[in-house]
Amino acid sequence: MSCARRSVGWRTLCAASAAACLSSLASGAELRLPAFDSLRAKASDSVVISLDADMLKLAGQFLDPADPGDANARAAIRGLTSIYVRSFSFEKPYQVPSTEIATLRSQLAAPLWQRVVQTHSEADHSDVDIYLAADTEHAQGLVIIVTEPREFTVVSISGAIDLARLHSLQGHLGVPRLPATK
Amino acid sequence: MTHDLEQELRRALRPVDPSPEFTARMLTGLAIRRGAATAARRPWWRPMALAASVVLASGLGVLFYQQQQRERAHAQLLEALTITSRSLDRAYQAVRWHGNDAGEHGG
Repeated sequence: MSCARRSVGWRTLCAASAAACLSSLASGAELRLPAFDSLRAKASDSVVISLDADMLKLAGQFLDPADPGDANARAAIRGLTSIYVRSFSFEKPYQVPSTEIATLRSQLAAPLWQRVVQTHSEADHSDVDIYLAADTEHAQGLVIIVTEPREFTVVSISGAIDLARLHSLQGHLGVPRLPATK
Repeated sequence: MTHDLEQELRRALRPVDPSPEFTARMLTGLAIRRGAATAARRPWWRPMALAASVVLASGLGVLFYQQQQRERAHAQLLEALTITSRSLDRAYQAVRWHGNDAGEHGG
């Protein structure tokens, strides 16, 4: 009896520890995005979106299951705890916000964060960096930094992330798929 | 004789100012009667209808606000997902292009 009780207690302790680890990983995967005020002032078009867990839940309630785009979006946000987007378009080449990018990159440190993609195109003068925070099985955080001559975008997502599903959304949300760059 | 009677009547029926107590009693009585008449004329359901209208208007206001919040969250969500997907696609295209480029240079 006492052995069984001890076993149950041990299991509870293990489950609590695992939950605490997962929650610390998830909260660690949530970043503080810079405001990019300098870019916002000069941008011809800017998108600043901050959706925390409550806002995601609210938006999810409004998605129409009968609409294919909404159904895809609903599947994509399942398990997500936040989405933050900062995207700026310019009419002429802009000054890359190195200070803000450095502040952002300082949060994307190992062992939690790994840079999984780093591309630079000399032809397009564009850079794409993708950082991932993941445990052994699941991605818990994703940061995409896209720097182009007339566009700068940072996306930060936390929660249980399905990359393939997120990528497949393009063309399903009323936005045409981008043509191949080369 | 007739003259005396007339004088007597005049004296008895001379105009007399009412006493202040009488005036006060009269006015109070009139006010009470007027109030009762007004209350009888006002329908019993009017205050309830007013309260119901206020509650209904408040409820509609809250519903409208919530609807607007949901619509805004919905639009923001779709835009955020679109930008995310587009950014991932750019990374995917860049990686693919780099892979092809490396293949061409290598082979």
